Parts: sequence; C-alpha cells; structure tokens
Amino acid sequence: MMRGAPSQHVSGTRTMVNFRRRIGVVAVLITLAGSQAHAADPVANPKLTARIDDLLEQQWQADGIEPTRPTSDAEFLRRVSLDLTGVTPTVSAVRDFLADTDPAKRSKLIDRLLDSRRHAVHFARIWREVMLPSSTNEQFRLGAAAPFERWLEQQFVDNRPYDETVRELLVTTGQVNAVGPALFYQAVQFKPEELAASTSRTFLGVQIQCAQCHDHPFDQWTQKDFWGFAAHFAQLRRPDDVAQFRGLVVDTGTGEVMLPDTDVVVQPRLLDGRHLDEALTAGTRREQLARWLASADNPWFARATVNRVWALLFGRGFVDPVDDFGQHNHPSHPELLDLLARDFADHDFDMRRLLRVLTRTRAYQLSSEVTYDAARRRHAFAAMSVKSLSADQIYDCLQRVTGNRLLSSGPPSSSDVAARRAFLAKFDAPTQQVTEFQGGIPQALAMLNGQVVADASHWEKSDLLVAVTDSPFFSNAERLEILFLAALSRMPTDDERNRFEEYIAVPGGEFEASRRLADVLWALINSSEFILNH
Amino acid sequence: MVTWTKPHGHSTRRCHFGLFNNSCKEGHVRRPGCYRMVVSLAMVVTLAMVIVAPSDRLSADESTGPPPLARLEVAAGVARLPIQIRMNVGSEPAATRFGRTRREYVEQLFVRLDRNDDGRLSESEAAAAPSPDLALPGSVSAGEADSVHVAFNFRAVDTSRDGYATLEEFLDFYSYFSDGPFRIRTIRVDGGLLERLHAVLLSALDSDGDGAMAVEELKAAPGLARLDRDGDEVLSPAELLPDASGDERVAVLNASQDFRLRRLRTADADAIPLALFCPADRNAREPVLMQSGVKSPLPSVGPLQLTHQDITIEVAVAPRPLRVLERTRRVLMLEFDGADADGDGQVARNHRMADYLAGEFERLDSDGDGVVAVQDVRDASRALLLAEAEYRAAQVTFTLMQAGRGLFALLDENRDGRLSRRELSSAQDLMSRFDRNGDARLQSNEMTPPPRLMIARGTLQVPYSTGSVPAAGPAWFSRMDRNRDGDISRGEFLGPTQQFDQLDVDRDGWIDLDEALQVERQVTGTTQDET
Repeated sequence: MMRGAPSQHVSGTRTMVNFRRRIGVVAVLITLAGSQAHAADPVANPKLTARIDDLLEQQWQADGIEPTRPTSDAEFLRRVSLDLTGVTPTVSAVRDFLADTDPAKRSKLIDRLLDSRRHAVHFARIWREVMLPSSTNEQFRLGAAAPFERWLEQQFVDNRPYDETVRELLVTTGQVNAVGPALFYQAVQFKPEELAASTSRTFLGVQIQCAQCHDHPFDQWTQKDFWGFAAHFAQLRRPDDVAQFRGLVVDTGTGEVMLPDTDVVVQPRLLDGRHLDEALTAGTRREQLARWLASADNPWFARATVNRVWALLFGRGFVDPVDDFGQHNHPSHPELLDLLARDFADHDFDMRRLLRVLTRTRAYQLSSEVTYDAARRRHAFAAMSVKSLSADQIYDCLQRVTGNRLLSSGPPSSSDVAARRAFLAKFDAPTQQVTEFQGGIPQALAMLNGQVVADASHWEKSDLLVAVTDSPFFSNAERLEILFLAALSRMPTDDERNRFEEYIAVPGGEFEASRRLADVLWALINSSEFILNH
Repeated sequence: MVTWTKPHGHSTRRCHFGLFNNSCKEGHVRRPGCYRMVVSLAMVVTLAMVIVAPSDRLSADESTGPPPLARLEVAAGVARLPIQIRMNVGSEPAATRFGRTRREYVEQLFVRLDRNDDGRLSESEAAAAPSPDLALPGSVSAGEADSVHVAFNFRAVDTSRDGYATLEEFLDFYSYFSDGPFRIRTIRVDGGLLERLHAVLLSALDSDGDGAMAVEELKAAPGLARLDRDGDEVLSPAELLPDASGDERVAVLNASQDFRLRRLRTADADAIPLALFCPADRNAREPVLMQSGVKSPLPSVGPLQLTHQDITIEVAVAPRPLRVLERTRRVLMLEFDGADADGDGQVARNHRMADYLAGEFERLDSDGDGVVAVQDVRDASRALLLAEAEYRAAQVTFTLMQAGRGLFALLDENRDGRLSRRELSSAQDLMSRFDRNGDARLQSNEMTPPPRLMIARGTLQVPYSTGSVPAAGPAWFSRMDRNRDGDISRGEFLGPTQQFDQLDVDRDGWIDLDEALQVERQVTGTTQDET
C-alpha cells in the first residue's frame, strides 16, 4: 500500500526542491501581458456614463494627460469579474467571452455579473469589512460575522436601496445572535461614542471622533457635535446592565450622554447643525437619526457612498482616504463626485445601477499598463490603478485555479472551512489602500511554499492538473493554454507559448511533461499578474 | 419481468425487458404500468445469447454451483426483502477470487518484507507491514462492515510466540482481521431535513398551491438554479434553506434497527436470486446484473427494481474508476522522482529526502540494502501494486441507500444529497415514473422513491485522491467534473467549445460517463481495468 499524504514538513522540503526547477520558469514569465486593444462598448452607454467620460476627458485635456490604451477583452473580463464577484472567471467563461463577437458583450457581462449570486456574496464581504472592520475584531474576517454577512448578502441579492439597508441597520432591534445587523452594536459594546464614530466614518465618510475630547484641530467639528451625534445611541440598553441586557438590541427611552469630565448633558444634534423638525423627532432617537442619515437631504451620505464605490473600482476615491471628507481634504474631482452623488440619490440609492454605470465608463476600461507619468495619470483616472487582492479573493482564485471541487456530499465540510480560515489568518492584512500591496514575507512564503499553493500545483492533488494531463484529447499546446486561462484568465502570448512549450516538450515522456506542467502552473500562480487586479 | 432505467431519469434510453421467468416468484419484481409477458425458458436463453457476450453466457451449473457470495436482507420496519447474490469475475466465483488474490498479495508482501530471505519475518521486518483495513471479527456480523482501523501488532501475527512470523501466520493474521469478500453498509437519510427541503421546494414550485406537482410545475424546476449561491451548478441543502448550517447533510451514516441491510446466516427459500457477472476481459463491456436467470446486457449504471412483500428497492452496479492501477503506479514513480532530488536514480535511507517515501521505503527496498533504486520502484509497481489491485477489486461492497420521501428525495436521482442541473431539468420525467394513481399529479404520498442497493467492487485508492468513494470513469472525467454531479457541463469543460460538442455525442449539453467511456474506448480500446 504505497500511499498516504506526506507529512507537512516533508512536503515543504519537497516544494523547496521543486522550487529550483520552478524559479527558472518564473524568470521568463512576462507579466501584465495585454495586447489587442478593444474599444469600449459603443452601445448601451447611458447618459450618465457618457457624462462621466466627458468630465474626465475635459480634465485630461486641461491637464495635458494622455489616457492609456483601452483594456483587452481578457484584461477587462478578469478585472470586472474580480471587482464585481471577487473571483476570476472560469476557463470556459474566458473562452466564451473572448470568442463572443457581440459589440455589447462587455455591458452584457457586467449585467450578468451583477445579477449573479457571487456578486452578492462578494459585496457582502466587502461591506461587512466596511461596517465591521476586522481591525476591531479579527474574528470578523474569519466567520464570526457570518449572520451579518448573510444579512448583507440578502440585501445585495434583492438590490435593496442602500439607504434602506443602512436605515435597517441603524434601527435594528432584537437578539444579537439571531439578528444579523445587531452585531454592529455588539462589536463596539453598545457604546454611544464608538457607535457615533463608526457610523459617521462608515456612512458619512467623516472622522468626527477626533472631536471626542476636544474640538477638531483642523476640521469644523466641535466636541458638542460629536456628543450630540453620539446622543442618538444613548438610549440603547447597555450590556453593563447585566440584569436587563439579555443580549438584546433595544431602545429603552432613557439615557443621556455628557461631555467628558463634566455634568453637561448633550442633546441629540445632527451633524449639519439642523434642528430636528417635527417629522424627524417621531420615534426613538435611533429612528430619528436613521431618517436623517440615510436620506437625500443628508449632504454626506450619498457622496461618501459613491466615493467609496468609486474607490473600490478605481483603487482610489475622489476623496482619499474614503472616510476622511472635510475641509482639509478636498475631492480631486468635485464636479464628478457631486454628479454621481446626485444621481445615486435620485435613483433610490441603487447600488447595482451605480456599479453598472461606473464599470461601463471609458476610465474603468482603461489599461493599467503605464510606461511614463504613472502616478499623475492614475490620480487623474487616465490609467487604471493596480489593486491588490484581498485574502478572500486570493483564496477563492486559488480554489478556482486548482479546480478544487466541493465534496460530493454538498456544503463545505468543517475542514474546508478551517482550511480557508487558516489561509485568511495568514493573509490577515487590514487593507485601507487597495493600491498598496500588503504582502510581507509570511504571505510571500505562503504563496511559494504554503500548503494551499503546493496542493494547487500538485500533479495529483490538483483537479485542474489531473484533468488536463489525463485528457487524451488535449495537445500540449492546449494544455498550456488551459493553465494560462485558469490562472491568468488570458491566452499565452506567442513568446510565452514558445518558451513554455519548449519547457514542457522535454524528453522523459508523459511523466516528465505532467510534472513540468505542474511547475508551469506553480509559476503562474506565483506571478504578480496572478495576485493583482490590474 | 425486469425493468432497467438509467439513473438521472433524463435519458430516453430506457429499456423494458418483458421477460418473465418461470423460476421467478410472482411479485418479486413489479413495476407500475409495465406489462408482463410470459415467455418460454428457451426464449430467455435465446435472447440472453443474443445480447450477452459468449464468454458471459450462463453455464448450466450456475444454479447449483458454489455457494452464493452473500445472503442479504433489506429490513424496513416489519417488512423484509431477502436477496441471494452470486457473483463471478470472468469464470471465477467472487469469493474464490477474493481468497486467491488476497493470498497472492500477502505472499508478495511477505517476500518483500523478508529482507534477509530467511523465509520468516522478524519483528523489525514485519514493522513495515501495512496496517490493513482491519475489520474486527464481529463488527461485520453486527451488520455494518465499516472498517475498524487497528494498528499493526506483531504479537497478533506471531501466534506461536517464537519471535518470528511465518508466511502462514502472516496469512492467518490478514484473513482473521481483514474484511471478507463482501461488506455491507446502510446509509440513512435525515427525514427532518428532507421534510424542510420538501417544504421549500414545494413553496417554490407548487404554483397553484394544491400541495401536489403537475408537469407544468415540474418544468419550472430548472429555475431553482437561481439559488445556486456558490455557482457550482448544484444546489445543496444550505443553499435551499437559508437558515441551514453548512454541515447539514441529507445522508447520515448511523443505521437504525428498523431500516438496514443485514446478513442472512441461512438460506431463505423466498430470497430473490441475483447474479452479477463481471467480465475479466479488459475489452469486454460493462458488468452484467441478472435476476432469476434473465441476463440483461444493460450497463453498470441503471437500477433494477425488486419487490417483495411491501418493499420495493432498486439495485444498481456502481461504475468503477478507470486506469486506477496505472495512476497509482504513476504516483509512486513521481514520488520517487521527487525524493530522488539529485537525479541519480536512487534514494538512500539516511538521505533527508527518504522521508518523502515515508512508510513505503521498507517495502520498496526489498533487498534490504538501505537504498531504493528506480528498479525497486518499478518492481514494486509491477508486482505488488498489481497484486493489491486485484485483491481490492475482488472485494464487493453492498450499500443500501435510503431515499426518504418528499420532492427533494424524488429529484435527487443520484442520491448525493444535492440537486444538479441535470436533475432539475429532468424533473418533468418524474411524472411518468411516480404518478402511481395516474391523476397527472404527484401527490406527496407518491413522492417515495425506493431505497437503492448499490453493488460496488473495490478498487485501489489512488494516493492523494479525495473523497471516500472513488469517482467513476477515467480521471480526466471525474476531475473535470468539478462539482461531482456525474457530468461535465459546458462551464466545467476546460477545452474549446468545438471539442465539447464533439464529446457530447447525444447533444444533451453534458458529457456523461457513457460519453467519457467512448473516448476511452477509442483511445485505449478498453473500458475496463486489468483487475
């Protein structure tokens, strides 16, 4: 019985051995290959998309900036799949898209991705990270916020107007363990000042917490603004009231906040300085806040949201960082920001519509390949920023590449979940700026020698490799093509074809060829092209 | 009368053999809506000769030949369905083959472990013996033959206590502790979960709210694919039930006394005779399952319905993985290559890379010189692996799978606890199979698919392969079928569209096992392993 997976340390050693062979392959990898340029869709370009393009182009002309070439189809497919669904496309999806001659195929692809369940799953993860950052509790990334993510996922599945989603979060009541959004309160132990800080930062893009102890040093916020905002959360039942708490999010109708170290009670007060009118004062304090906060009348809500979505797609917001709006930090494209915010509010805060509009713009479909003036062009959105993938995205992409199947009995087993968690924990790098690559030595080693990648490029463990090498109907050229499509979502260039086919076609027969194909896949996974959204 | 249907219910290749053999007790096999035809024995034989390869022809002494491989009984509540199974591989009865191949394998193992060639094993030599899939005597008779893994214990081998194990002691050890030629197991379903799934499916599909399914409503089943959260083209319980936990599964392993497959110790006059013939010839086609003297040429996939008292079950032969031995040999070779880091064709025991052959080193190093050379690997690969493969293939597992009731149970044709696209799109075919009262509605009391008895021959397990049940067909087929639903969809296929179209011979949008086997037949001229 010649069997049994090698023990952990043994397989590590082995990988080091293979490494020698493989490093040569890495050296010849040509990253960021993108050739045949493809014009953006001429059709289905709604008015707003055209207006965005106009505004940006005017700015480029005024500043003497030349935009980069449009993306190739393959580049666009990979980029939009990663941005909207968090994972690269399957081999067959790449083939279909490249072969499709429909001039409107990019728009249709966007619609298809936005309608997919994966989109809701991916955006639930993103928005969970926004609303319940892992920096407050690293377990949130690893599944402790699952009910919250499920709740968000349903919001995205239904494409519920974003203002309604936020309002529901702000007025939610019930058992912490039973109600998804209730975790938002538990995460900060129901503290009014923490809730004020996270709510304003997350939904309004302003950092009022600096005014907690004193007036803001270089923005408009006073200490009373902060505590007036926090007063909206003052009447939540607190967990320190052990006898009453019972894990419930509930408004008690009593409770006030006071300025620190004083007896001065601060009444609820909105950030725009407006007093609550009669329509706004009905209901609990949280209800009053929710009505104002998530509304078209609020000067920050729509702007902060579209800025965040823009940053998600383009790597950087008009206001950067996205949660630091203020007089000290003016937007780079104020007119564009206002246009998008107005449109977002006018169209029921329709997130899917916003994503559809933005991904159809010329700017979104520009290449990230820049040979000169890179920073300036990227800041002007005349070249796409290169974004790093989140740990979730890397894991999912690896699963996709390996062709890892789900167990035949259905839902992922606890061990699959554990494998995912272990990987995510290793890649735990709180990312504010997606344009900064967060990978350090542990991450690099995990990619070079880690178990997940070792399995992904193992000649027998990888479903993809076995399927490719065992199929009698594929030629070596086709096998190589499949590995490129799976890992990089594109065909190999002529140069890559020549080099890799030569590498595979060594004497030694089928055995050696299949091992070399595994080496090629390992090299592709370890290329910068794989780990970046470009 | 024997009726065969291909699983999935999608296929139009349905074949009714209206054969009724005089020896078949009335009521053994029943199928609603089927006609019954009494034919003479001569006609049966004639037909059998036409449809069965000559080497598989029934021999005259089959009814009086060696004792049956297994006497089993399906117990469901107070009802019981006894079956008596005979099985041949080529011309050899399965039990004989099992004893012979096990002996050959253990002998080979013994010779390899006996590194000083003194005809006996010292404790240190025996230490490298594999811990076989031990089944403690007694665990089998309890009804469930799931193996109990026990560490290799030299004192259990060396029964004479002289400090050495002889070949006979070694053989005794393996035959005493290992499973016999057949194993049985029962897989039950979680009735509560099925009920919840039924309710969800009913609320999604029962558009007129009458609690029953009409054909038009079944036609809407493919629309359920929108619930496919992870995009793997199958619906799991977790996807259908928003509040289900990820670990909730339809199948549960613990069997209860009121539903299980068990052994019969004595002959039962009522037992339904079943016979399974597995061709030993690699170029022959699928195994043949026959009931009451009637052979059918129909393939390894496809249930046969048996009824006795108030129980109806389906019997099917599980299709096997292909080229397992070849793949296992290949893994061994690649492992050796990995350990042989300097490429000199040998690995010494004290080399740091020898760990990589952990657990295999001693068996590979049959001359005991502390070095495994490439020739050692080739020898082991040729002889020992082949012997083990034949021994594994001689063992048969009977698995009784409860189907449960309700719409989910009905739709889940392959009983994998999930709904595939194919199962959803062939939902409308369920009407003709289960509408017992002919009112063009599937009432909930008609949503009771029969339990299925799967007969599976054992196989080597390719190292590193995942899943406890080896997937059928060639590796490229089972590994490209990412979601393991038994078909390669367009989305799963890795090659160009035109290639898919060529392989999808029946143009139904999936490459199925039959089509994969056609490729194998064209390329390698075989759909059978050498075991």
